[in-house]
Amino acid sequence: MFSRHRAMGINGGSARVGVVNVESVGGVMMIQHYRPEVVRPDHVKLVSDSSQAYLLHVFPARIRVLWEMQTFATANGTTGFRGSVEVTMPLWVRLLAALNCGSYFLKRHVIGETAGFAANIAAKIKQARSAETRRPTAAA
Amino acid sequence: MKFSYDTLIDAAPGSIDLGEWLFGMTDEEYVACSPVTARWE
Repeated sequence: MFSRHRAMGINGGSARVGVVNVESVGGVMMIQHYRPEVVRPDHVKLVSDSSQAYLLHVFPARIRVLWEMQTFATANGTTGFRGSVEVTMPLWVRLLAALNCGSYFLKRHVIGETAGFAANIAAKIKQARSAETRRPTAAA
Repeated sequence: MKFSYDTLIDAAPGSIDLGEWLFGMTDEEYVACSPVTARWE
């Protein structure tokens, strides 16, 4: 229940230098400093080698987060969308995360945000299609 | 600790550019894609 996106910023504009985002996952506040490793139309992979996490929003820890999204063709002609998050953390953080049901909350977070991102992409496609149909055609 | 989740988007394969989408996303959109609205925090 305690997961939420709080803020996001793009570094470098069209140069796509990085992404900073702030979110809570299971009561852990996290500030990610992502740099893109792969940016392709069907695959983005971002790595935050030194994310700042605040356990219970208080105790600081450094963790590594890998965030990946991919699209793929499905048998029925639509597009599949996969969101993945991999978190690497020191032993003491892993122990605290286990006590705090961290894996459960992370899983819920990934499911929720992947569905949210898919909805956002679908809405933008619909918006683009709508703009396309409204565009006046040039007179012959 | 790694988790993945698959879902579908009603769009033709190859019609989505994830790079364009991600780096064009605004702060408001990212927040709106929140998994759950937290009440405890």
